[in-house]
Amino acid sequence: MKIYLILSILVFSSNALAQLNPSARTEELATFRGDLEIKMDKTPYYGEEHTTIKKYFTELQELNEDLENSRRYLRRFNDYIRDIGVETFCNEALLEKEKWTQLIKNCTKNNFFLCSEEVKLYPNIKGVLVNLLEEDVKKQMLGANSCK
Amino acid sequence: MKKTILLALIICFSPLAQSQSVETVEVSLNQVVGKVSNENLTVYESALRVYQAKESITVARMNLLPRLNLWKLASAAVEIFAGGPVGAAAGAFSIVEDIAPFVVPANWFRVSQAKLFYEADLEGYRALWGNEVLTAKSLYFHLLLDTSLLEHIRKSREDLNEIYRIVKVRETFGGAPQTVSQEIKQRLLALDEDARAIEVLIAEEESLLGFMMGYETGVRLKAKPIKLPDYDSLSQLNYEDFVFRAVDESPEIRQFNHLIEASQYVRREVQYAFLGASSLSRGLTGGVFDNLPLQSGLGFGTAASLRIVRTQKEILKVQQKAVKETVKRHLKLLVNNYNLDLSNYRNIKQRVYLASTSLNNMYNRIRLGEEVDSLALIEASRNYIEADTSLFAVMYRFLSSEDKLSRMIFHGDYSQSRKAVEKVKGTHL
Repeated sequence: MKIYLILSILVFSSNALAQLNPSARTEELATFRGDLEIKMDKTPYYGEEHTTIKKYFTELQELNEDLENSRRYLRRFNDYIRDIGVETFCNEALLEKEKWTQLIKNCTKNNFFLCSEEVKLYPNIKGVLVNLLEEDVKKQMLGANSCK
Repeated sequence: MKKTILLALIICFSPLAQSQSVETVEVSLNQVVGKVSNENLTVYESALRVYQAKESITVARMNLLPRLNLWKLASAAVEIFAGGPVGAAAGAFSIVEDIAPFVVPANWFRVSQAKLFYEADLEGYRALWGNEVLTAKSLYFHLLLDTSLLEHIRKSREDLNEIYRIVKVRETFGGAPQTVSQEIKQRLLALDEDARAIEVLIAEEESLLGFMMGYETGVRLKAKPIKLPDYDSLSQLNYEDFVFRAVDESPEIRQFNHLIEASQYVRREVQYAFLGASSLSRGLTGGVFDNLPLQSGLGFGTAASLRIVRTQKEILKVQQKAVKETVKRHLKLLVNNYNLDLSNYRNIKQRVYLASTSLNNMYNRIRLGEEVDSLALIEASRNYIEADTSLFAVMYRFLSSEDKLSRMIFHGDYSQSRKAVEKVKGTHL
């Protein structure tokens, strides 16, 4: 019983740390983005493709919510972006505009948009993320090609 | 002079003068969404219920803080001061739930439940908003369809009337049998009846649309024409393409997610019931948990109470699955109707062309003095009106199907539901 309790505490705390760690978060985003890029060429989209596509955009939205809710986490995230560089962060975590445009096209049939709404809202989600960051990081992101 | 002014005033303000001024408002399809969101009474009522649910979270939170109940306090004071050491302890414990409600775990679980019921109510609002917009837009399409049909019937009546006059003249000079004009006259009267019926229908639709858009009774609406889609450029739809989005966006399914999550807090309330119960109501949405036979305090019925709550969670999951299947079934029907109307459109267009050509040929022959069988003429007129009516019907039915599909996946005008929900979230009375 004691061992079970200690193990549960360890698992819970490691999950919590991984969830908040900016590096792990970015890695997670990069993984979801990679999965999205693999699935996005497999048209027409069915359940599995839609779920994979939605996962990336939902994760980005959740990142925005976490950054809005915790100043400490926001500061850590800004420091992390400064460490690795804005270009690297955008290359890893953010979907390119051309690929997003292609995704929107793949998601549209007879004027109906068939993917999850988060896909369409990507420019807004990205905009919110950039606006949350500190001024110097924000300026760099707005200027970087890979962040557009 | 004074008498003249008095008479003028009486005429201006007389009920007769007032009843003759009927306000006519021209509306467009774009305005329908805006007006229904802001002025529709049913939507507003639902928004107020969401506001109540939002305030319920505040009530639940504040319920964690000490509160004053004068009579309980008085009774406790008597016990404390007059009951000796035992009385003092009893008196203190009797007001713990008022003085320190934060020590009662049930009160904390009620806060979590209130938040989830609020989320469920927001989804309910989104569903109702969508349904009202759908009904209003559907009425708008019907109004346009019936207006087009009325114009078409009037035009057909004019053409047939011209033929009637020609045939009547020929009958007078013995160039045509008497029965021909009588049969054409019957057809004209039938068209008059149809026109009157459609006028009444249009008035009813205008009135209902006006109500849905929040206009007062008596205001006449004039629907602006809309740009019809290029039917020839559209392709058949596949049901499988729509399933994910219809299920993902469905507020009916999402509501159940929140209720299922809330059930875990109800279960915890039962588990910690020995530390006190919450006196707060769960509200309308939480009513699904209110009628469960749950034992307060720790007793022999606690295990059964926990099983009841677990079963309630399973019931909600089953209901959610049923709603999901209903959504999918409804979607399949809509996609089939959409594809059917798209296929039929091309057929019916061909029918209209052929019927119109046939009728025009007969009219020309009559104008040139040829003898034309009256039954054939009436049949040709009927076929043309039927074909044209079918074409209008299929075009507007297609629009309606397209709009229903948009509602199912919250696309187009219905994607504004998120804005509508954000607006309700920010509402303060």
